[in-house]
Amino acid sequence: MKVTFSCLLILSCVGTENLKAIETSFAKRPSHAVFEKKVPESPSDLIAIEEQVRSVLKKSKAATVCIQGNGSGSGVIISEDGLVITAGHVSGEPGKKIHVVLQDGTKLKAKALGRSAAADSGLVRITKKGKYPFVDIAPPATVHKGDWIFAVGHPGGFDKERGLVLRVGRVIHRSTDTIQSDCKLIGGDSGGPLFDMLGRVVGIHSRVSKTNEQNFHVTVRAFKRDWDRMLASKIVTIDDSFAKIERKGGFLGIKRISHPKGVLITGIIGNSPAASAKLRPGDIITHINEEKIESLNLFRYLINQHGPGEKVILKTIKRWEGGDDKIEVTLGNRDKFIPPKKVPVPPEG
Amino acid sequence: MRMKRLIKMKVAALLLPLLVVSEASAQDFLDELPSSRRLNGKSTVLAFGEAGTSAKDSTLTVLNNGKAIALATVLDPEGYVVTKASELERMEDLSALSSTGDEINITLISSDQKTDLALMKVDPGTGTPVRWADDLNNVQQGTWVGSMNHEAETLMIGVISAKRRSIEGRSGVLGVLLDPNDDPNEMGVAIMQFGPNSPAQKEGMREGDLVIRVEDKEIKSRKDISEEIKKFAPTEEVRLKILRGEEGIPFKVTLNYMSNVFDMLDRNQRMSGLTSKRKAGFSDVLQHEIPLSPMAMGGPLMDLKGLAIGVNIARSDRVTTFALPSSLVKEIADKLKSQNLGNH
Repeated sequence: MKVTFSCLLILSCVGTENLKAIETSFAKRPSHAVFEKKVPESPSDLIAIEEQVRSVLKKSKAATVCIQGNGSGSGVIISEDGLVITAGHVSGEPGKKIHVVLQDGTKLKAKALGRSAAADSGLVRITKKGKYPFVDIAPPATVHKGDWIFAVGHPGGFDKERGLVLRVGRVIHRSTDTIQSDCKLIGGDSGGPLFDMLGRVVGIHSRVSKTNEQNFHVTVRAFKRDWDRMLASKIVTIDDSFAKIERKGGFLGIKRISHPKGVLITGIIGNSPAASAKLRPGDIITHINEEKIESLNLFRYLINQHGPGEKVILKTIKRWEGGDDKIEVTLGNRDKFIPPKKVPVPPEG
Repeated sequence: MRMKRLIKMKVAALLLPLLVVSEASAQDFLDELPSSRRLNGKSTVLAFGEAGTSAKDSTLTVLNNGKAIALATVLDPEGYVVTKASELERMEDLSALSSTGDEINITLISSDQKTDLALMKVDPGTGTPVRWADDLNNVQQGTWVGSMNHEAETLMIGVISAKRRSIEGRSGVLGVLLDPNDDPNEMGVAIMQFGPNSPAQKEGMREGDLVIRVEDKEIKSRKDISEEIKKFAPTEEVRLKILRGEEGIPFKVTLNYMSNVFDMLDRNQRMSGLTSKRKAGFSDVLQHEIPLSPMAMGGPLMDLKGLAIGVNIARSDRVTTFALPSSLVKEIADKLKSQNLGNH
């Protein structure tokens, strides 16, 4: 448990006071140049990817398990005492007795903890006491569009002769709850881990659509959001996931649209925190507290992580003055600017 | 000063949509990684370099009535090539496309049931003979591999994804669902339903027919039937006798591949799109993840040095393609070649 929690604790103190800590924990990618390139350019670039995967594969596989009880799925151990993260449709009903199968075929008794039907995240605990091989979870903001990643799992169920199956690919899209990749998945992979090049879990296999490039994984962020409730064996609904955020969310006061580099400001509400910070239409917000904005949803989510009166640091591209800027903004109270409606509406940044 | 700012704001409002459009492709706008940069994107596969060229030069396309049904690997300057035998079963008018795109003649010499390899021949000097990797010790989970896809038009890449091993064979099937409540003390078992592509239905059997004999065995239970059918491979012929009303009728049924009948009923196969009809019964395979079309079997599987580590033999499902390792292909090709030469 220790490692998991320390990891998650780092995640939960994403605040302005801890920028230093965030910067160090957000490291990064392996040092080889291919991981900074748009595409690998030569056989030696491909070999660098291969060697990087191989250097962490053994440990990654040792922690990956097969979960039997609601059909056959996969999962990954994230603490020495046997806490397993998986897909919500693999862990199933909280409290249900199921089995976890290690790579060597050892079958262990386990229990389903909580799950989120909305995000398809789930937790399982191995009930037999022991010391199990485990891997670390990456901080939520470390995986980006274009990153090289690899998937491990038990497609089609446990097969000792074949062993765990590897797939290598790239992140095609990342939103708050979902990563899309070209690591091809099939039934039995569900719940299995998606790893970054340092062998840290960045996602959990969830579902596929028709093409080879439509494979979807639950993000670490979705796990983090519902963590306490899942650990307490609750079924988490969409309302549960966002209730806390809606109550707490601070107010910036911009109108905005999606942009390849972040979010593009199209309007500023008068006297809002954004106006006080001298943001202007045309400016692009690229980072919030050092975290890269990859979608409108992520922007909304990150702003809502902070309440009125809390400070956030925005990194912006100034359309008019030119150049980059870092601004500290104190978020306001939404109700002061936009009167609350009777029907609850989704949070606005 | 204030006026100036107002004007700027107005200009900004007009310009914004244009700024977005001019700086981003449609995929950028959707926040997606552009196709060309994905694992099998145009730009990514270029990194395979010379090895990709080798794959193309050593691959032919096998056509039936002008339609691509398989690829073939060029073995030598005499024009011998190998391909996947079970894809040739319905051949009518065979021809081939060379790697330069010319339509050429091709003839089937012979095939090996065990490995599902067929030896064929084209004009001497066609294509570049493949260079085999003799030592596969460095071929492990994670090793990059590349092969030509459908009609040998594009290179596709991926990694070795699981352990080298054997894949247990599957017998042929009648494609029938039998009465689950059969009485083991009475003769015969009723056919309840036919699966898709059922060879029994094709021969004229009907729902409600009672199977009373398979080969020389009298049938009393479903188990009797399956035990008897299990002895036969796909495409082999089985004699059956059925009872329809008072009438006993003999049938000869050519068994189908299990995947041709039951894949439609299998969730993972439905997720996989088209797969090979023969995907089991191999003594030694390499497993990789390249999402090749089932009509792209028979081509060489290349490593990054441009050496062929095997020949693709089956597209199994969405995440699995099998290749016979180089040593096995060479052994079978040599055997088929010497048998052919012995005949002349």
